[in-house]
Amino acid sequence: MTEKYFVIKPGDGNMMAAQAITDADTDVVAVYQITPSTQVSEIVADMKRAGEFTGEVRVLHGEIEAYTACYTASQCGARTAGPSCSQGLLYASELLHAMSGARLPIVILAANREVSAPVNIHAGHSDVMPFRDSGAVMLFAKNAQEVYDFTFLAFKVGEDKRIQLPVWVNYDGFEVSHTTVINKVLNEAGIKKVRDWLGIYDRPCSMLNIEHPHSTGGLVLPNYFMEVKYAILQAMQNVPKVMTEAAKFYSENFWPVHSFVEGYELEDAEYAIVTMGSRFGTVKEAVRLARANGEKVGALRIISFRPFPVEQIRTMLGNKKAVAVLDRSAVYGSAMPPLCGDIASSLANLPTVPRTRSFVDSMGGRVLTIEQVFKIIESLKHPEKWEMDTRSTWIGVEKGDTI
Amino acid sequence: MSDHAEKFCPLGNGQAACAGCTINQTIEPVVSAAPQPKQVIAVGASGCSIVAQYIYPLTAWKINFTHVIFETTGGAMTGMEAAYKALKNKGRLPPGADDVRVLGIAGDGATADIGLGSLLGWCERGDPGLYLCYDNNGYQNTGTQSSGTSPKGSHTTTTPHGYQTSPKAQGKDLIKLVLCQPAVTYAAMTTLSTLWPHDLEYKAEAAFEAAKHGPAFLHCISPCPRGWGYPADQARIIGDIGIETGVIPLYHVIKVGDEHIWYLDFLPERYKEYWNGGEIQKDIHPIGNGSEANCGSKTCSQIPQKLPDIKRTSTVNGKT
Repeated sequence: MTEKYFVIKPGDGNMMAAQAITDADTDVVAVYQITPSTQVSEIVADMKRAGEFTGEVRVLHGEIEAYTACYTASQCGARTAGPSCSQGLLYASELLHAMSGARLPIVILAANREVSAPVNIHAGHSDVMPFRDSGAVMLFAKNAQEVYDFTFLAFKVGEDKRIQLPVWVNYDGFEVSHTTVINKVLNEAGIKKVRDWLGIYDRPCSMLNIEHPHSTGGLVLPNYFMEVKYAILQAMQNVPKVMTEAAKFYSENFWPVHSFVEGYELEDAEYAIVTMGSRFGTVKEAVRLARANGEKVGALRIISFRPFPVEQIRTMLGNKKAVAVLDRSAVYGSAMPPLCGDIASSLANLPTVPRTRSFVDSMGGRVLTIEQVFKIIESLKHPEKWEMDTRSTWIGVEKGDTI
Repeated sequence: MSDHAEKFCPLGNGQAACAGCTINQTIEPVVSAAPQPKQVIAVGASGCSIVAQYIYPLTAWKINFTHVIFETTGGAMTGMEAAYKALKNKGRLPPGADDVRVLGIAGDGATADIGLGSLLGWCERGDPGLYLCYDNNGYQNTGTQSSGTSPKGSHTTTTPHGYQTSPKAQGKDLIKLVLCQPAVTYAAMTTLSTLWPHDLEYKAEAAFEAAKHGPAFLHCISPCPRGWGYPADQARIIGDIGIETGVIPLYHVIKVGDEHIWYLDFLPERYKEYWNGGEIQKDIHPIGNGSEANCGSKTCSQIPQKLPDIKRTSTVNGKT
């Protein structure tokens, strides 16, 4: 880093998302408000009013409309972003699947929140998990700074000719979206540099390419359907390479950014705790304190949930004795929730497979405490005492499970 | 203008429509009526039109076309308009895209039922564009189920006539719904017929003109031989019957200032004694209002009494 490209700016996750949308020279933002991601649309609209944001902001009549507008705007070769969460994502679910099939690099900024019923506006991953197999790249940020950084990576990776897929930047509702922290944001020179790096979104089959008309999104019968879907898989397999390149550039030119996983004290650890999103801070602190007491424990945060960093996980967790996986969304009627299921299947077929125990915590904004993490660490040392191997242990539920 | 053969034809070979389907006959003249037909960018909701014109890897479209899901044609049109405006403002439009027009194409189910909110939302936002509803009075793509625009009394597979079941009890007037939004610049009801063969073209041209300034809505009754149960070569005769019986009223609405002004384009002979709404608009179409002049009132006596008796030779443009 030879030149200083940043200024310090206090802001929460939503503000950083809006700032990144503006700094990335986004062409179209289609919005419909929903707690807790409302402020993204408000701030972008205000930046448009102030002349900082030079694209178009469209306020539509529902998330399904908003994401359809994203869909067609992206079809027209516009760099497009859409903020939403929770019920909004569920309402727009048709589009969220369609946009990966249509190979549209729309960036979805999701301030993860629980879904009804009962109504809850606080953080949880239950809104994003239904879309984990929609064919989109999914990143989970732990703080506002990462929301900002990942948005650039999302545009860069999604719009790459080898990828052409929607990218989700997930961040926990309120815990990240409404928590103001000190961030680095790009200054004028930095914005110029990042825009040069991102380039313009060049869609070969853009609908505004009048001279070479294309039809897109049509009916595909059994003779071609699996080929179209297989192409999504191939693009997804290209993501690690492209993401590594992008994160390398970003880290070298601006400031360091994690891209697939973030490990903490894992090298000599015998036990590991895996999580996603903002709770990693709590887990890290608990691990630090446990280490001071001589516990051989480490922590791992999954950043790239799709594609799932299978290789890194096998390398980093393969030699552990036991792994606890903390999901922020539940599964009802099966053994493991989404994150734990992916961890367990990533570790399967190793010569020695670590024992995996699934926990569900912090749904609906409930706080995970350091004491609870201590209990988890303690339980990892005694797998013979685990009562529940066939379902997750729910943490902190009154009259519920014991860890 | 009316010489269709000289125009750029937006749909080519490779259609998979049913025999006698009128959807292509509806869409083609509409796209051709744009000032620059090649610069029309079209979005279609799920329905007959998608299946008829675009089965991968074949497409009949010669303009840029995309399909979105069933219920969000309005949102899709807003997205296209926003992208066009954004790229125009940033000076990044591809060559040849200086007069792009947004066209939304949706069936009656996608317009009146599942996508009604999308349509009205789009009208409220006031985005420039033309929304074409090809209305075959039911969900014909899934096999003639009742839709919001199926007329009262319709026999469909979900509102069957017969013992202990009743035909459809409700009707819906789409244009009245659309006009509750003040931003709408133009709305018209039209159909395919032999007696008014250019009605659709004229109205599409007027709609594209109005669509520069805001939402324009074209409601075209497109008869469906399979759903309506008539011989495949009789579609335009069905249109004639619809017009002459008043089942398909030809009218259009324009916006003058803040007001919507309605014009009735044709008053069927049998309703004349009930009409007290003043003069029938005679010169609605600046070019060639001859369609009405030639065959306006003359044909009413020639309405075929029932479908099987229809003879194709009866009346074409006033000639027998």
